[in-house]
Amino acid sequence: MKKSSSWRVFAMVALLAILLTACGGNAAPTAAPEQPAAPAATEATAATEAPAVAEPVKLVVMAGEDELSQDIIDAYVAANPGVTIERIDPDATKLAAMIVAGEQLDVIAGSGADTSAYADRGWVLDLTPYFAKSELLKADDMVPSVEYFRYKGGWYGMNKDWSPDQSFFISKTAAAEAGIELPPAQTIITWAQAADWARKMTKSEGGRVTRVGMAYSDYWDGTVQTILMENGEDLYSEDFSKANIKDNPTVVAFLTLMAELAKDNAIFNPLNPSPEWVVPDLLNGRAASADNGYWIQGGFHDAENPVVAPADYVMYPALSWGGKVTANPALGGAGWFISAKTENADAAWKFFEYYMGGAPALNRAQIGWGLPALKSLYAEIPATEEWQKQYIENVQWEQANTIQTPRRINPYYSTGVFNTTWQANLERYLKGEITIEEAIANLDAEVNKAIADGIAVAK
Amino acid sequence: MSADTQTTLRTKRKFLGLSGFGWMRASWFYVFIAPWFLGFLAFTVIPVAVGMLMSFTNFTGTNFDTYKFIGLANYSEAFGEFFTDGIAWYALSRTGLFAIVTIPINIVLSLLIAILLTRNIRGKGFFRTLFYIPSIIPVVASVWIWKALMDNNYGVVNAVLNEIVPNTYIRWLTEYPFHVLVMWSVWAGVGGAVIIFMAGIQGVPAELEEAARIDGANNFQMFRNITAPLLTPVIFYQFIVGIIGSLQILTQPLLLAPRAVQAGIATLPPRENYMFMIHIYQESFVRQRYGYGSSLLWILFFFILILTIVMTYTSKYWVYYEVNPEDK
Amino acid sequence: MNKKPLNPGRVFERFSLYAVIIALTVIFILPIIWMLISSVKAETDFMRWPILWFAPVPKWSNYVQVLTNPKYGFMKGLLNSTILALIFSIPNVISSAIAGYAFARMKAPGRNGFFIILMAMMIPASVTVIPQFVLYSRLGLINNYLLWFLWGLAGSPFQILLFRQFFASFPKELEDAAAIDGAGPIRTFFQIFLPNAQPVMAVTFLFAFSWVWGDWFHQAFYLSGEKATLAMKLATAFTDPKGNPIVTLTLAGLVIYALPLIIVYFLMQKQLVQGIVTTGLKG
Repeated sequence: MKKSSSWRVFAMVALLAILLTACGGNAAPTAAPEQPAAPAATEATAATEAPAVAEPVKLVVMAGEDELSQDIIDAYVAANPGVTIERIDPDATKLAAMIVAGEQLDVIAGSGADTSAYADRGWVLDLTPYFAKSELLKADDMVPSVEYFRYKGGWYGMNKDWSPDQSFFISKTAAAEAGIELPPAQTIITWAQAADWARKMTKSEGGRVTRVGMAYSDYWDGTVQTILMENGEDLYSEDFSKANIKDNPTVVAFLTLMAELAKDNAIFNPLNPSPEWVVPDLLNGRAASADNGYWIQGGFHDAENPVVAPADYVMYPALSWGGKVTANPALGGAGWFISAKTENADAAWKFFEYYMGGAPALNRAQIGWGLPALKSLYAEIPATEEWQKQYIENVQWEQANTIQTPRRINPYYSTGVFNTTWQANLERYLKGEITIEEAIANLDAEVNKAIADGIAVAK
Repeated sequence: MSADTQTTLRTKRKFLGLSGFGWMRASWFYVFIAPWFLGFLAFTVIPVAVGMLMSFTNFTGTNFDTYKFIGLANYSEAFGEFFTDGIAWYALSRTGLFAIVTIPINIVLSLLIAILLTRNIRGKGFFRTLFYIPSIIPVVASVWIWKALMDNNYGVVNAVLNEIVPNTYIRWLTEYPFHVLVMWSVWAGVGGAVIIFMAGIQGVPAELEEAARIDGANNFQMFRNITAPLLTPVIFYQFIVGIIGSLQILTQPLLLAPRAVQAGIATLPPRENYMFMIHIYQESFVRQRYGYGSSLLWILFFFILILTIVMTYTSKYWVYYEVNPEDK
Repeated sequence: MNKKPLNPGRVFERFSLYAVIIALTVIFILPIIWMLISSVKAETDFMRWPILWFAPVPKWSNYVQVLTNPKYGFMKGLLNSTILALIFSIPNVISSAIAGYAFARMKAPGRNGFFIILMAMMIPASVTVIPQFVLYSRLGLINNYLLWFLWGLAGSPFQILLFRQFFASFPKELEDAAAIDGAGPIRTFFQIFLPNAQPVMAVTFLFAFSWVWGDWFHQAFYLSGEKATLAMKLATAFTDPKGNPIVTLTLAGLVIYALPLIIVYFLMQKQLVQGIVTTGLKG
């Protein structure tokens, strides 16, 4: 009996201990086992008064492994003793929760399209003073797409590289097969023309589509915005409170054209999706043409054993709706921000600067995976092959002759809504459940509802 | 139900039916369940309560500091969808259809296999294991298997069909994704039920069978009158588990959506596989309406709860329980 | 049993019985065989149309690639998955056993709060994703395997139910005898009940282990970088240097990923089935 009750006391104590540790989580010392080590380390450095050794600092960077490789981290850490870098995978919700919970986060990779939202919430640091002082990153050296990172007079980040996202690529072989005579480079081609070609180049075998005429990149809202730019119009009203879809004849005509192409399987679509994405689709001969950015050439260049040679593709300026002018800005910009909550702003900036203007930027330019965000690095772009030279010529021509103004980003909703709603309605249209007018009306209603919801929340 | 079990406690009634000694013994119960209960509080109750609160707000996943309470607006919007044939209703009806199709197929097929395997055959353990293998393969692996089988362009099923009827081309993953989802769920779900049913059938007391044989019962009568009634609790259990599982189906349709390259929580599966949980994820993560998404989750929760209660209540009309005299 | 004479009708009956069973088994197993066959193909052969049933020469190098190419980090993921699964399973089994025992054999006011477990089983886990994230973040549990240890410690309803059913079937003389020996509840549990619960422990361990091993959602949400597990790595295809998925290579990885579970299941079949026989029968 006695033994048993002492056991019980022990159990109760253990239970209490568990309870306390569970509840006392915000009493930091017990929660973080690594904590004691840190003060000891600073004490040691303070005691020895080591001269010029930078204070140990850990940077937490939320960025994908594809853009922040371990090699970059290793190189930076080796060159900067005392700095450690922890990379975490990007995730929008995690980002929000981390910031609100006060988790350490210093650098955030994100799209330029997020700038307004992040800045409004006070998540990101205005880097204007840092840019003003920087030797590496100078405003007059930057490409137009950096604009995406400016908002209400603040400058919150920059893109690591960019690309005119909607240039048009077409296979010479496929065109010849279909009896299409391709115009000379740097000709503005219309959507109607490209659609006609796409139908002609589509091949099928026993119901199986073996090649679509065009691999459309699904930048639905982006394409709509750029074709509207030709006439100085926009998808959204001045104050972003409304999207004009079903009542804008151009938008209706474009969506209808694409839906018809989808019905003919001349483009990949919800019923006949691409197994992969544009680059492998082109190189494996699953698509004869594509709208995409300069990005494509990075994939082309490194492809092992492609079925179709990269040299088979001609790059044209972005397709035009009206045929006179065309717009081909970067649709967004993958870049970096620095968290407003960082306690290591200077160290974070140093890494930011290195990544955007140092060795990694040079390396990115040389690989050719996108165009550099700094004009001074343009000389490094690979141009050994004839086709690469043609691509660069086209890019330069587009920069001089097409509309490059960044599109307007609606801060009240995520454009994912536009794209997923349209995909869902397109699927219903292709299955014959609704008409094209209904599909477009649904898109209009859903997008405007999402915007209204966003405005309601913002108020 | 038969939840109550016998214990050895025999005590005088005092406080809440227990004497001092009884309380001392009883307190051990709390100690023993403490790890589970604390975990239950920390990992379920607290977050659930927060989730409940969230469903009354316009939380967007990011406005942690500026969200507002908006009363029942989220719920009235959700029920509005139900009554106007909106997208939430569509998603719920797809999910219901999935449950209605999958659960009976699963139960009938696994019962059938279990009956075959208990028919005095050689290597029944081996066969049983083979049927169970699909159940233990992780979902990430089995989705790749099913994509390799059903792919529109290079899938093996189309290849087989093509050998039989040349030029067959069926776009399984985009035009018949629901069929694929059902097949996958059955394939992955039958093995476990087979084991349980086999055990149930083998658990039928030998004396009962002998007695029935002597009475001249044939195989079917034996099954109808002896095995089947004894299996009803197992079938009931499979029903409940099936309902709970299939109404919450999420990972499978997400991973099965075409475009394998970036499967994530925001993936939009083909419309036929637009399940209720997918809708919730679309609302929460694509449209950033966590408040509304939470209200949908609570609606789903109560829907499942009501179904379970109804099932449990009606079970006494068709589920056979051995009477345990000590229960009363 | 009594032998029946073999007449033609009976032979036919036996034959068709086996035929049906074998046909069903083949249907269930073929998808897995196809995974094995495809895992030793070159990607171009896998994508070929008309289909190429077998690779002309098995490309075993797919396996070598997956295991050794540091780009894929497969071994690291394998190690992480193993550690994570163990960190969860061990406390999970012990905790569930203790709670299941309490539910089965101890009487106390409020015990029927057991019904809450059933309800907890039904709460869609995703209801709680955001609040949980904030909570765990406060506790420093993000990207931390400790989270799985705590989840394990909390037991899980299904496992508790299994133990409860199992312990409920023990004769009550066992406790009476223990009480006469003067053993307290802890000794009674650890010395008498738990040693006899090996079959259920094996089963629950396998369940717990394979839950973590096969789970993708929680790992993808809470872990990243160095702590990434196999499930996370395999959810998206392995790619060539430019991001093109290589399905066959991924399938090779998946074979290695799924194989341990299949082997363990074969090894533990007896206990597993026996465990389910004892526990899963009564809902």
